[in-house]
Amino acid sequence: MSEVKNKLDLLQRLGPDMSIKVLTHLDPCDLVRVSTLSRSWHQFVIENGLCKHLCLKMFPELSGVRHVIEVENMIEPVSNMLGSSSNWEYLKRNHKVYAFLACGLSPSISRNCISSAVSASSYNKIREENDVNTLDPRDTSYWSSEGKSDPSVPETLEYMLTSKLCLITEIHVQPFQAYSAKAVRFRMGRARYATKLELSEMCELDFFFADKIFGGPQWTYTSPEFAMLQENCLQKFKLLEPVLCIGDVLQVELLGRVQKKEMDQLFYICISHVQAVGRPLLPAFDVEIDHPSGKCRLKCMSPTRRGASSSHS
Amino acid sequence: MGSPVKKIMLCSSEKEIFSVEEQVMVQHSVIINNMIEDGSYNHEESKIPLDCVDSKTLKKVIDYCTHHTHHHNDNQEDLEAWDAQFLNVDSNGLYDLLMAANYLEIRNLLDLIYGTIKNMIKGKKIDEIRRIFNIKDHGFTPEEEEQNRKEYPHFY
Repeated sequence: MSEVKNKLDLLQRLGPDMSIKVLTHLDPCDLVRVSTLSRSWHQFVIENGLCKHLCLKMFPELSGVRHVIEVENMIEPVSNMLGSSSNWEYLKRNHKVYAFLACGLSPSISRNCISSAVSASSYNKIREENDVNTLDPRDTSYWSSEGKSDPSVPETLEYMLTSKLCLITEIHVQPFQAYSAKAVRFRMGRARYATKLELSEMCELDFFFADKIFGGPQWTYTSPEFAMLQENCLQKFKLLEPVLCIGDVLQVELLGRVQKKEMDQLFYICISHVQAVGRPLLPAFDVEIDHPSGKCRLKCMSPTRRGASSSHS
Repeated sequence: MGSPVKKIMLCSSEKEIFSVEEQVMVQHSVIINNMIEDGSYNHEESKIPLDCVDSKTLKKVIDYCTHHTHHHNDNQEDLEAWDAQFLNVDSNGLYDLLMAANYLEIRNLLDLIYGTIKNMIKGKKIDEIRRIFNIKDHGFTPEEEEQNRKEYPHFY
């Protein structure tokens, strides 16, 4: 009896239900690891969608963006076989994508998903009130728009996110004094040109002017409008559903001016701080965005060949 | 303290009877707690049949529940040391315990075993895990195995 038992491996010994429970307690990279132990383990992990199961257990907010991953097919693994639409290939693709997300998305939620300020729709040229100031949490530094007599003229601020794939859940905006806007709207997407490098090969332009030539970023997400308070406090806007931002551009659109400056009787919008909250990719993970389809391919630096990029998940 | 300790009878797959303090099992096993609460266990004549748990495993499970009932005030370190010693069994023994803990719904023992299996895999090389889990024939074609090695060089 026990000799027969000894010949069975864990999956056979425990049966499918118990095996699923055991395997979804593993760390994501160990789950990928066991999927290469043998053909039966490989099949078991993929057929039962264990990477997806584990990924959603780790990041429940991802369930809102399942559609982007599974139906719109916006994320594709490097070794995806073209044209094969069989169920097994579909499961295999999901396995790789969810494994990548489970291993690659930051396990902790970061309030600093913005890496830099790219541009603003206007500047108050008189003083040093530029958009870089909005990355500084101190409320003495701020960005100011141009003054307008028409209170309905909108303003936009554009930022780059820390990674090309980010799961964003909230955006925080703090107006400077009472120079708030009536409402705010957020967009996320990607630049139309491939990379900064490619761009500089084509012509000697910086990022900001590239928008003017190639057209602005291609938005894949636009939020509804959120009403803003006319108060100098960090206002938190929770997106209705978390957004998987493919590409790394975030736009904050400020709609409607409320405060005039006594000096010139013009309406201004001033913002002292902007934060994007969510899960960026960990440093070892990156994606390559295919232009113009917008699909992204997953990349991971393997720990044993540091520096070299290898196809993974 | 004067009243005698209430006992219940558990019956292993070999039909061996174990008499255990009721409180010990009620505290740890969701299933047994439910049986006592809904009155389906009769102290005069009932034995709880555990057809899928052998005597050796059942004895271990009872040891675990008894220790954790009587020593739950011990410091965390002592309890962890005791748990580590308790789970110092071969992989078959571990699987048997896991199945029993699952059947009886003993949450903390389940979590303990999940954690142990997790550590058996964590960061190890593929060949080592194959040995631990007794995978003699991986069943991949040489091309597939080569592909895996290429894709995940750090696993090998």
